[in-house]
Order: sequence, then C-alpha cells, then structure tokens
Amino acid sequence: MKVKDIMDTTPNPARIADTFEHLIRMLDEVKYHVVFVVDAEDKLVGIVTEADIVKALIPKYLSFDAFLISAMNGNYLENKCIESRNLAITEIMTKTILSVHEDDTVIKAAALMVVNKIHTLPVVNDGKVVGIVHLINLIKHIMNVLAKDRT
Amino acid sequence: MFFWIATGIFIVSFGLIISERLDKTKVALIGAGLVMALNIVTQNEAFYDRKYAIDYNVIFLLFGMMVIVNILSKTGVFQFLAIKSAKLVKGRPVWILVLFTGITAVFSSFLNNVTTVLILVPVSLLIADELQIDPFPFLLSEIMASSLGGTATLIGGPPNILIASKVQLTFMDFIYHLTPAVLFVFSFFLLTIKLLFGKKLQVKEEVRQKILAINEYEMIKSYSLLIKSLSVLGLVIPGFIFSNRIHLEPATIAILGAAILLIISKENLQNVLRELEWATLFYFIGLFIVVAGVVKVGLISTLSDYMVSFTKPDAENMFATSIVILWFSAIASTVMENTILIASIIPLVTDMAQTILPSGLDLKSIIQHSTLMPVWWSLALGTCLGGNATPIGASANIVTLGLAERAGYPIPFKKYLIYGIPLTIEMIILSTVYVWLRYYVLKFYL
Repeated sequence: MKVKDIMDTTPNPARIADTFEHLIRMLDEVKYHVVFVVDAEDKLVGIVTEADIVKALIPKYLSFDAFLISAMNGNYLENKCIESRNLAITEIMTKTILSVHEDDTVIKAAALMVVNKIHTLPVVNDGKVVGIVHLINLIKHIMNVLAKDRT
Repeated sequence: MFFWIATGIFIVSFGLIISERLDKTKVALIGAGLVMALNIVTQNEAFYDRKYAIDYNVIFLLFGMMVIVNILSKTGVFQFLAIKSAKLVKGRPVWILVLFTGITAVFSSFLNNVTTVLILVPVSLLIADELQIDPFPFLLSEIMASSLGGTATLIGGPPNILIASKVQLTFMDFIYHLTPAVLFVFSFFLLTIKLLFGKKLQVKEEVRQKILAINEYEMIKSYSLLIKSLSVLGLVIPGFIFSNRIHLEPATIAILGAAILLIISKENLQNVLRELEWATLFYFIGLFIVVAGVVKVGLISTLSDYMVSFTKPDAENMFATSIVILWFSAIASTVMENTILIASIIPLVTDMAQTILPSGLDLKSIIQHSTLMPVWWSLALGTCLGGNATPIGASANIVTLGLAERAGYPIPFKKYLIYGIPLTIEMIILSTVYVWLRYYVLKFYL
C-alpha cells in the first residue's frame, strides 16, 4: 500500500508571516489540529502542533531542573500568553526534516512515526505539501485491512 | 629513546585535551594504553607501584562523593535552600544575588563545581524570569563562586583532591590554609559584584511578591530520603575532618558513606550508577598513567630544574617560587582545564623540593616541609581561580554558558571576558597578598 492511498489531501497551510494568535485559531479549526508552515514559494519549512504552542510558553530552565515546576507562579502561563502575542511562527514551529512522498509505502510512514515518536507526517512532492498522514489515517487503514480480511 | 616517546605521548595528549579536539577521556585512555603497551610504565607499575601507580584514593573519593551527591540531589534540598534564601531577603534581587553567590560557594566546597552550577543556574533563571531581570549577574557570579568554593576544602574539587593525595594532606590542612584564603578573596569578590550590579537590580515591590509566593517546601521531594542523605553526610564530613584521628583515608570514608546511603535509601542502583560521571573517573585513571610516564623518563625533573634555575628557591624561602606558580598556573588555567595542569605540576614541585630541601628527610617531610607548603597552596589557588577569566577556562563556565544559551539568554564571548578577566586578576592579586602576608610577613604556618 502506498501513502497516497491513505493520505488526506486537505491542506493546512500557514505562512511564515502569520502571527501567534492567528496560528492558534487555525490550529483549533483545522483537521488533526496540525498546521504546516510554508514559505513564499509554498515550500514546506515547518510544522506546528498543539504541543509546539504549549512548549513555546514553558520556560527552558524547567527542562534543566524539573523540580522547579512546583515553584512556578500561578499566573505564569496566562502572562506568558499575552507576552507571546507577537511571537514569530519560526520560533514556535518544528523545522520539518521528516516527510514522505506519496509513492512511499505505508509501512515506511508508520515506522517513521513510531521510531521518531511523532503523530503526523507531511506528504511532500518537490518540496510542496500535497497531503498529510496522521495516526488517525493509519488507524482507519488498519480498520479497513481487518474488515477486508473478515470477508 | 623512551624519553622522547613518553614526552611525545604526553605533549600530544596535553594538546588534544586542552584544544578539546577529542574528548579528554578518550585521549587519557589511549595515552595510558600506549604508555603501558610500550613499557614506558609497565602495567604492573601503573597498577601497583608506590610512585607510578594510579592514585586510587582520588578515584574512590570522587566516586563516593558522586554517589552521595547524586542521591542527595534527588531530594530537592538544594532547590529548597536556594528558594528559601530568596524569600528570606524578600525577593530583593541585589540580596538574592549576594546570597546565591554565597550559597554557590558553600555548596561548591563539598560538591564539584559543575554539579553546583547545574543546581544554581536553573533556579537563578527562574528567579530572574519571575523578577523580569537579566540573569547575567547571577550566572557570572555563580560561575566564579563555584570555583572559589571548590578551592576552599579538600573535597571541593579534583585539583584539591589531587594535591591532598599526592602531598598526603588532611581535610583540616585545607581548612587551616585554604579556607581562610578563599574567605579573604571571596569577601572582596562579593563586594565587587554588589558594586558592579547593585544599581541595575532594582525591582518593584509587587513583582518581588512573586518570589514570596513560591512554596519552597514543595521543592522537597522526599523527606525520608532527605533525612537519610543528611545523616550520611553528617557521618562523612566529620569523618573527613577527623580522618587523622580515626586513621581512615578520605576514599575509605567516601566508599563507606556511599555504600551506606545506597543501602538505606533503597534507591535503584542502576539509576544512580547510570548518572555518575564515569568519563571523569576514567579520565583520571588514564591521566595518572600518562603523567607517570613522563615522571619516570625524567621529563618532569628536567622541567623542575628549569624552574629551579628560574626562581632560585632555597631551603629557607620559596617566595618567588610560590608567586611564580600562583600566576603561572592561573594564566595556564585560563585556557585549559585544570586537572592535567595540576597532575603535571605536582610531580614537578615534588621533584624540585627533593632537589632543594635537605636530603636526609623522608619523602613526606620533604613535600610537607613548611618552606614548601606555600607553593602547594599557591598552586591550588592559581589553578582553581585562573579558570574564571574566560568562558572556556573551566567546565563550570562552559556548562553555565551552554544552559544560558539554551534558555534564551546567550552570553557573548567578549561580554564574559570584559567581566571575567578583571575579576580574575583581582582574585589572583588578592591571593598573592594572602600568600605574602600569611607565609612571608606573619609567617603563620600553623
């Protein structure tokens, strides 16, 4: 089975120049809650998930010393949101290194996701996004395989 | 023939280690392997000989303290103390700076320098974040305070542990001679820091409240583990202090302490062992063998002859030697990490002492001769404090700057130098004054 057989072709593009607030709204509205970031030539440069948004609000020193989590001020997150209003997308996004081509096999896509602990892969053709493979697509595919086997 | 091979191995190892081209543990191990394979120092000598063997006292003291500190840090007591002190001064940033600098020095006197900054830097970043101030003053002061604290006691860091082991000094020797030096230098350092940064660190009352709102008791992850860890520390530190009277070497005390704590804490052994700095331990093992090689072939005694003709020490007065060693090791330490420096200079000074001092005495009386002692203390001060001058002078500096960068507060090389060089010069000048006043004016040897 090829990726193009299971992928979803509805695009979720965001541009580099978009703001933090715009991005959050997009994330909430789009399918899979994943947004792909493209540059002026529509080439894929990054991906933004809900995890990336929250990560941008949590200070790095907590990953140096998790014990300090209990010391965080009660209003920290709320204050940080307001401060981050104008954060650039490039500072939040994960720069995309992993992607698949529509002619790649499903096993390749699935294995990449498991080994790299991610839930979404962009499907790319010549640098441009043509689709998305999410764990949900894989689950649907698995359901179909079992259904066909029953008959 | 052996002379040139051994010297060659030593110089290449030295160069690779200070240039950081290759991980220093790898360098030390291959150097050691070659020294033994080529029979410059036989394996038998490297493992068992009185003069040339690996100093297991150092290795096991380091290991034991690593275990105890690892378990102790799982309690959150260090974070508790830091936040408690910030609250004690009502969140006033200047006083937090002063207290954190002091705490860093105190912790560093029994933890190693890198561990100390790994504890203080994240909490300093948190405080700076809450108070909306630049963390630079905290980071700079903590880097320097960690090296100052590490100079104060025998267990403060590898350089002192090495000196203690080779010169057969006790914990109390350091308390009598180096702790006062450190207190002297540190007081002026703290004053300087307060003068430098006091004005910039002003914060409104309502912002300071954020610090007072933190519940420091939530930092303690396990009271039972804390009690157990502190109890073991309460046995080990007095053990070091009275090691002479109870006739036990520091390594023995450390091993016992580590073993007891591992058992009573019921910590998973693998989890603890996994987090220890094995690379550091094996670096020392390899380093001892490489240095033994150049000691055995006579490179060290050749160098010590040069030093003797240069500083002209005599059996009564080694003032010039002390000061030269102080400044030389400080300057060398600004660009290289200090363990290989110390490991090389110790046999050099030992050899020099044997040449100059009355030959009838046994080794211990020679290396602990009162005329020579100021040289050892100068070596410790210079090596430990010199590293503060540059961002690469010490591991604690590199680690702190790395964390600062990852957290979004990069410290440019130049900015560090602008503060680092003058502050370090101040510290070395103060050390010079201390050595001169104490050993050559007041002649207070104890």
